[in-house]
This record gives sequence, C-alpha cells and structure tokens, in this order.
Amino acid sequence: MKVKKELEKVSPGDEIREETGLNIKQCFQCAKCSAGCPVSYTMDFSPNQVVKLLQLGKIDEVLSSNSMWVCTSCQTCSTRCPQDVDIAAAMDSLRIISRKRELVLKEKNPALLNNIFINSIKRFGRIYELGMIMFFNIFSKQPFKDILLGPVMFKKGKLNILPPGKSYKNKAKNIFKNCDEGTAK
Amino acid sequence: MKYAYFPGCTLESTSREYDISMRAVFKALNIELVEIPDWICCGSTPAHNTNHKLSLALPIQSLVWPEKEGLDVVAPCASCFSRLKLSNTQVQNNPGLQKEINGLIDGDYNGGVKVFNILEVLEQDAVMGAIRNNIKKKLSGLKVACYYGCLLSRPREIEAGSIENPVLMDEICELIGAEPVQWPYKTECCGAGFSLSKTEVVLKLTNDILKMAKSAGANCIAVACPLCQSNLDLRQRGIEKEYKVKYNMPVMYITQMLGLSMGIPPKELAMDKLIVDPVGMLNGKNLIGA
Repeated sequence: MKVKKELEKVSPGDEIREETGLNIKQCFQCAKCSAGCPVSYTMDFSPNQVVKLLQLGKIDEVLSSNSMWVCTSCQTCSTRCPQDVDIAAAMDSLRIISRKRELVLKEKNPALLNNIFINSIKRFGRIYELGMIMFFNIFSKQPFKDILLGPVMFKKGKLNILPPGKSYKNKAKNIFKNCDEGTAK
Repeated sequence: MKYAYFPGCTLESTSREYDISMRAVFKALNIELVEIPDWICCGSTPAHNTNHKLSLALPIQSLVWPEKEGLDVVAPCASCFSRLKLSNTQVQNNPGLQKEINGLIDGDYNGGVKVFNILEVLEQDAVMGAIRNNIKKKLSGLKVACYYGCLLSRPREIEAGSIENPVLMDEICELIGAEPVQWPYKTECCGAGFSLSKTEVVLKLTNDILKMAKSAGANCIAVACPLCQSNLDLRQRGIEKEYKVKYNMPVMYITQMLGLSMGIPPKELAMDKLIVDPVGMLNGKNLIGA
C-alpha cells in the first residue's frame, strides 16, 4: 500500500497526461515504435526512449532534445504500438509544452516553419506559399535556399505571386481570436 | 453522385496538377464536385503541432457549409483528408468537444458530414464500373509503384482501409491496364513538411523510396498526396545530386494516370506541370496520342 502511494507520487509524464489524456505507463519497451520510425536515426532519443524518460518523470531532458522537433508526425509509432500508447500525440504535446514554456529549442527550423505556416492562415485564411518560403528562408538565415527551383516552379505556374485574399479569411481570423482569448459562445 | 470539394491550399498552387486532373477525371465520370465556397486551411501538421483546439476548429469550420447543403466531402490532399476526418470523428464522438468547437467557429457544426479521401471515392463499385466503361487505352508497359505515404492509411482512426498494405491505387492501376509492382515501401514516410525546414531528411527518405521502387522494377510512381508528390518529383534532381544516382522516375498523380487511360489529353491533365517529365516514357510506350 505504502509502496503504491510512493510510486503514484513520482507521477511520470503527468504533464503529458494532463495535456493529452495519454497513459504512457502502458509502454513495456518493445521498441516497435522506434523500429518503424523513419527519423529515429537522427533523434537524440528514439521514440521508445522518449516514452521511458517520460515514465521516469524526466520531461526536461526530453524537452531539451531534438526528438519531437525532428518527428514528422507520420503516425507509424502510434499505429503499431501493441499497448495503444499514442506516441505521436505525446510528440505533439512535447512541442506544445515547449512552446508554452518558451524554451530555447535544440532544433529551430521546424518550429520556425510551423509559426510561419500558422501566421499565414491567421493572415490569409489559406497558405501563401511564396510568402511562406521567403519568410522561412530569411528567418532561418538561408536566403538563397532552393532558389534554383524558383524558375521552374514559376514557369510551370506552380507558385502564385499574390497571396490568397477573399472573404473567407475572416473566418480564420475569428477562430484565432477565439482560441487565443479562450472565449466560447 | 455529388460531393462538396475541399481542394486544400497546395492544390491551388504547387500541386495545381492534382486539382486540374481530379476535376477532369471526375467530370468524365459524371461525379459532381461543388467547391466549398468558404473553405479555409485545414491547419495540416503545423496546427496540431502547436495548439490542440486550433487544430480541430480550423478543419471543422469548413464542414459547416457542406452540412447545410447535405453533402459529404471529398478531400484529395491526404493531409487535409486526415485533419478533416480526424477532427470530424472526434467531434462526432464527443458532444462536449463539439459544443466547445462550435464556440470557436463561425456557425455551428452538428457532425452530419462524412469525409472521404479520393481513393475511397474512386473505389466505390459504381465508380470503378464507370471507369471500366470509360477506358479508351490500357496503360500497358507501365510498372507502377503505388506510393500511399503516411496519411492515407494512418492513424487507425481514419478507418480508410489497410494500414500496412493498402491496395486501392494498385486496384485502379490493374483496372486501367498498368502493372502495380509489389514493394514494401507503400506507406513509408517521405519526410512531409521537412521539405522546407529539414530538407536533408526528405532527401534521405525519398532516396530510400525511389531506390526501393526502382529495385522492385517500377518505371513510375503513382501518388495521391501532394506533399509526397512534391518531395519525390520536385526534389528528385536534388536527390540524384546528393546521392550520386540517376532515377529519372516520373511521379504521377493517380488521377493523371486514370485520365490518360480514359483518353483525356495530357494537357488537360496538367502532365506538363510535373518536374520529372513523364511524356518521353509515355510516348515510348505509345500511351499518349492517337
């Protein structure tokens, strides 16, 4: 009884559980997630290692790694887990927690692109791809990245010069306003 | 047959050929597509990476009009399909969540819409029958690696067919006379949105996919996802340079291949918008022209 109470105090992955309702306690480290993960080769901690660290309450170590930022959200891990642990959702939670805590990220570019993408929706209701590419290149300090692909994209009419701009964008603006302020009708 | 059409952002620009070929094929099959007039970006991966409620509200907003019109939705982009379907399912199964999301969007959504990806629409008996009746040219000589990517079969909640070995595109290929190859990388990730933010990952993953397709005997790849297509096609020269290989493997949308077999001219299927040009190969096998 006493041991059980002590174990519950350790509260592995509580922040994750609060954020997502996930119960990562179910993981028994079969590592099927890591075996199927297309990017585990470049992760500081592979998916099963991330879950183990969370079980041990070591969320700070995970948050200072690159793991959730090089995750492509391919969903292979969650789909194959025999214990129904939604590792992909845990990765999302780690990204959201990172942002909330305003941490300095080990891997900056994926988060940068996410922000630019979201801002495009906020501004235009849809993605302004040319704007997104330009802003990303500038802010990631690679102004000439992919510049050689520009001519062929324009020639084939695959990049719009002007941003999308119609009445629907107010619907997006409205959603952002409500999400930020947390208001509800 | 009539659907509310959710093209998604990339089909209006970088993947315009998917939109053009889809509309051409659906018109020829007598399936009416009505574009949702006030659709907004589904949020894709960045939204669910950033804010849970936002990632649900954005796609649900675009389901308000279809519900009013009594229409189900088809979303050809795999990512849009994934976000629309998953948000829809979550909201349908959770009245408290539905109320919360309705507080964030303009109008109300009551869970009355079904969301389909393009393969689910095409595989219906009536549609496969219509395709069969409309075939003008069998695409013999094409050995196709059907590449589904991640979001047409995962996560399990999308319930869109087999997770590890989807076959819908393979069946369409067989129907139109092409030969789908057996290969183990049908659902391997291409690196998705890292095309911009971590390009070296995309180059590695797409090289693996192209290499496997080639060694399985494919001479082209069929896709139904704009990001997969872009990573495999637009980045193919970059992959060849990085890994010192030569693939020259055309990556066509399944709608373009379907359209070809139905006798729709390549120009009307926007074949000229593909980066790795398929025309040489198709000409060589007498698959285009009279």
